[in-house]
Amino acid sequence: MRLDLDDPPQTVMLQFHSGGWSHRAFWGDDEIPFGTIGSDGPDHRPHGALPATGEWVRLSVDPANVGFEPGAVIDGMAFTQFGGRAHWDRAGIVTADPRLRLGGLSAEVFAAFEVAPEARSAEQSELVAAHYRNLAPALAGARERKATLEDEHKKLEATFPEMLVAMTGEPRAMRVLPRGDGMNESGAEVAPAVPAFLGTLDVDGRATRLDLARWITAPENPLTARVFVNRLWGLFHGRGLVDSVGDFGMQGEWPSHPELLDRIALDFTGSGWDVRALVRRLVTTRTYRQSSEWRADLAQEDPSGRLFARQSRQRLQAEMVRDTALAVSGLLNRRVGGPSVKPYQPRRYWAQLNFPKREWQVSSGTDLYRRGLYTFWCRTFLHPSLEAFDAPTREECTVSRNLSNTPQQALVLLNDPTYVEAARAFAAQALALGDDDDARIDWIFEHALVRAPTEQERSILTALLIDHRTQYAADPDAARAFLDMGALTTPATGDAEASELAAWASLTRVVLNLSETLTRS
Amino acid sequence: MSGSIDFRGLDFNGFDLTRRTFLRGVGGAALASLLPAQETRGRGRGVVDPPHIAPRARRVIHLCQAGGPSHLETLDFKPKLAEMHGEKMPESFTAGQQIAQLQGIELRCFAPQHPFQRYGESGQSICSLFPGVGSIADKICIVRSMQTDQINHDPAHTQMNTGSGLTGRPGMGAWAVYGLGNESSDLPGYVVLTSVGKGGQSQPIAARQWSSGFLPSRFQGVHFRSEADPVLYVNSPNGVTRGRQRDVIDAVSELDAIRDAASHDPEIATRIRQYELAFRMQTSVPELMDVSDEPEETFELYGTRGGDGTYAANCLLARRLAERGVRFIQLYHRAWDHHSNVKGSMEITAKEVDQASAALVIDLERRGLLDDTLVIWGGEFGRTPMGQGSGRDHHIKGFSLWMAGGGVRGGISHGETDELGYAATVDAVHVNDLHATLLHLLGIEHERLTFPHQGRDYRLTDVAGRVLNEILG
Repeated sequence: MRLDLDDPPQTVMLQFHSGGWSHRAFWGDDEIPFGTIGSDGPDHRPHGALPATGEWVRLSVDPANVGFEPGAVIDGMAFTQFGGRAHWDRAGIVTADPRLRLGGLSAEVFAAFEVAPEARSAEQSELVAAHYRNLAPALAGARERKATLEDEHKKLEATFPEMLVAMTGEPRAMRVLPRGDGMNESGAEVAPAVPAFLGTLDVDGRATRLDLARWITAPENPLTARVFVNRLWGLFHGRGLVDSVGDFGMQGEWPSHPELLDRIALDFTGSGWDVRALVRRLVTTRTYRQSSEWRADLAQEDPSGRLFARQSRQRLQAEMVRDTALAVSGLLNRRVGGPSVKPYQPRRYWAQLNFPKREWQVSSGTDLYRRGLYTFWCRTFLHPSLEAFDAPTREECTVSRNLSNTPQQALVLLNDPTYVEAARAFAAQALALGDDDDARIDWIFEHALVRAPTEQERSILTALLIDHRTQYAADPDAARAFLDMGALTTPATGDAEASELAAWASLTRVVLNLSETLTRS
Repeated sequence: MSGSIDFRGLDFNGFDLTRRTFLRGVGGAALASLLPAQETRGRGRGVVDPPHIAPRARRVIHLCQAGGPSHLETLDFKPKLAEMHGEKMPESFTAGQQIAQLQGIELRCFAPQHPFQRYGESGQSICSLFPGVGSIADKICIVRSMQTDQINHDPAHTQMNTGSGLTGRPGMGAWAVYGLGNESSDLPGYVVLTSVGKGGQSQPIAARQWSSGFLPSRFQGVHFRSEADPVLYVNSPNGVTRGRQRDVIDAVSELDAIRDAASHDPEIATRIRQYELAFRMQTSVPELMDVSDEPEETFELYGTRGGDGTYAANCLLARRLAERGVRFIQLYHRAWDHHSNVKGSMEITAKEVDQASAALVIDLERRGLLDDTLVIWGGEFGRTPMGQGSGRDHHIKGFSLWMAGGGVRGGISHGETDELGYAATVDAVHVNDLHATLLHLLGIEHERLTFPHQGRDYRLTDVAGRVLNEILG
């Protein structure tokens, strides 16, 4: 082994298994608490100081020293260190037993050799033949071909996408834990089942998860479809037909339109649980397409929107805030599926994590602009931009998200490189597409807000544009610094173009920060 | 989705944002002048207004010694444990009790690894590794009978913060800001600072520890880091000067105000206010973190020049945060999980915290802030009197902390453990009792500060908690 020069372990230990692990030799400080500490017995035998660091050393143990009689069978070996870094390399045996000097021979093959060829059984003959095949020079070519084919086979298998399949062994005895105490084994043993008040699983023998899945989606079980349909309705309308989205029980809310809920739920299961069709249906209804503008005549009739007399206005969910900015700016990567990605995240945001310590490895290329849904989800330190907009950490099941309104959100939209880049890309598009300032502002509004700007709005933005144009023209270095943020390269431009783009990026930053951009109305 | 929107239209300064009319049809320049100025430091409004009882403290500084400092090498002297060193730990102490990594291992007494001394006129018994704390012995109340229910780090931190080992509840910091509001107009009401020690492994801390749980998210703790970006995203993009950032925010607010007039959406007015606050934080945070304006003598007092992310630097920041009206300041020093070599590790870790912890108390006092600042020094649990190799394992039946200021009497101790330092035997103090006392000192009756969630009213102390009147001055 080789102990690291700068950060060696304090103790290294070898342990040998023969019926139990009580055969140990250690070097260095007595830090590893296995065996009878301080006894100097064979189960915790000191072997002197730590070997030299920074070079390859061989640790030697005399079996007699750690409690082995001749003839003992050692069937396990453990390498243990206390702290530090070390490289553990080959382990072996030094012996004078002639039988073991024929390296690599198993006991059976050796025994077959000891028998005269004519007296060998068919099995023994085959063993010897196989051994020969492994060694014969004449068969070297065949062995090489075999190795190559095995290698290709392995490589081919590695390209197969893996599915995690757990093979169950014997089912464990599961008990009810009194007061949730994991160490209390006095509770009754229970078998898999569904909550008694919801019915029973109709199975022979022990119920499996497949039984549970079938029960959840059984035609006689109206609950699943109703809950799911209600959640989608809530996503599109700001509130569900049942207000208590996570509770369809006795403490939940009564549906505002029970027949409608039933109808949609039935159609959903009837369609074969086709989510796409359900979504298409929900967003093509007249109800969905209503305006969310406040109407005086509804103030009395439907003040809280419970009757869906108009559409709701609500801030977008965290992932969609990001998606909107990227979509509007043309950066959004719409690829579906595949592994999670890591967009820009402040440096050392993960510094409080351990086991192991780790750093956020930012993705590259178009992976940076995938939908927020594909962001790598670290539950203990959720990506701060997502967290700022109330994305749940997923440490617990979250049915409804908050809709908070905090200065952290403002800081994210103003200063997160993702949004600065988006503003820049958005500005570049506007510059390319429009002929003059007015046309570009129109295009920007149309693209982000699906409407034309009012004169007042136009004049506010134009004033900003002119001001920043002047400022960036006078300070092209600042313009370049602004345009250089993020991985997105700005095509090589002269000072004048850089200043112009920077000024427009100020303008698009404003638009990406508007309440209206963040709000589905 | 229907969720809980800021339910009183209050921002984290307690300003009432339902007054929207003043924003109608105004241009940019006039906008800033119409937003309420906070020149004088008034009491920020929380839901406890007026206070339930006369408050003693206006703010709390929690110096969390994360990892679980051994009470046997800090605040709880056990000569009997020294006598019995190496002997089997009597089963009468440990039978039936929770145990962590020492499960299945023979338990033996492990003597205190460092001597204790008496300090101050009050003669408080404190480990000699902590002369700094010793120098403020007459100002502190040592509690030696702390108890908690959670024997591993994350759940124990969760309990120390929220009163329960179950996740999802608000921490004491969030409750404090919810109850009393924020006295600062441009900093969050609950700020978290972290540091890492060198003596032993650093147990991680999850951001959940300072979340607002089921309270509105504006009450969550904001982590101030010793990085170029001390608060996440607080720096404007490159090439964007303060003036240009202001221009962008002004334009956003003006355009939003126009929308507000047309749409009657109360969120818009709130959002305008948040942009204002964000802009102010862009200055107030760097200004807070830049300690170069401190006198030389202060750097000597704390033993740091600041800006280096050490515990000492954070203590100095804590004082600055207190001065600026932050309600709840929480430091985590991740350094105390001494499963091995408690002797050596203690020496290292004590040096990291001793001088600065005392300096903070002294500094607060001479600035007239100690009387209304409650300072708490302690970890999420203690460590076993039984040895774990050369270290100690997690321990929950008895551990120690100290408190100063904010209405707590100095120069006293409260509670005792048994002769081996295993269990609290006199005046046991559960985490809930600590919380009840903390809220009491802030002027809040712990049974009355509640929030409805999942069909019932929750409180920080849940269904327990007793105010420790005995230690109040």
